[in-house]
Amino acid sequence: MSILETVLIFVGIPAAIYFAIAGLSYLGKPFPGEKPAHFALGQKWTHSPVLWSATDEVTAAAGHHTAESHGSHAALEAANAELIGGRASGKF
Amino acid sequence: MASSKWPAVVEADLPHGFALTSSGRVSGVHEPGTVFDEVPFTDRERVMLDNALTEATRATKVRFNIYLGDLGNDPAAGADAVLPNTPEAADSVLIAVSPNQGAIEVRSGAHVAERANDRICQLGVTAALASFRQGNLIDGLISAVRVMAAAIGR
Repeated sequence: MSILETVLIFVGIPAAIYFAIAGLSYLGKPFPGEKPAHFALGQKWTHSPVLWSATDEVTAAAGHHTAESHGSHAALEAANAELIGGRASGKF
Repeated sequence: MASSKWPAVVEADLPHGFALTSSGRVSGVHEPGTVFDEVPFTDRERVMLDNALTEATRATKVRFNIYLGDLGNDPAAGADAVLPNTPEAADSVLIAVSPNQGAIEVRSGAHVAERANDRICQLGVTAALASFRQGNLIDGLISAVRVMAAAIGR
């Protein structure tokens, strides 16, 4: 067996198998779905409501009783208005 | 909460392929090929907004909440109704934006009313409107958070 034959059998065939299997992975879709289209102002907002907050941050409210902690004890239907301090509105 | 809904999740009302686990977490499937249920913003925008919220909350010890969604026919009343359902409502600032109605509402909680008063809420609205009118939603939200945090101070 010449050097050329040895290389073809022991390098060429494994490499061919390797690239054949690697090539199969490109047949499928890279992601199982699409991301939603980017929203720009002026389009219609169809997504469900979003609430963003820095939930990991500790605020001054963490130490003392807040309105929520009383909420389980007392009916707070009337307190909705009392919860609000400042307010401002705008249109665009 | 003023208007408590219990239980918060009813298993019978969940869509197909969703289940309520024993810990209370809702587990759901993603059908291959369908659009992911994510907010329609880029990762970069979401990171920038998250950083702005974190910095503002850390600097002022006032919780900043942003609500994005419909506020009903009367946006002011809609924002009033959203505030009690936000985390730490009495110690928070709520920026509520309704893109479909072109309305922005800012509310602050009763415990921080002296620090985040009407004037500071109006500052947030003004800062957001400048970007909103150019069509930049996330930029406007970020500037509103930054301006209000800077005005509230430590």
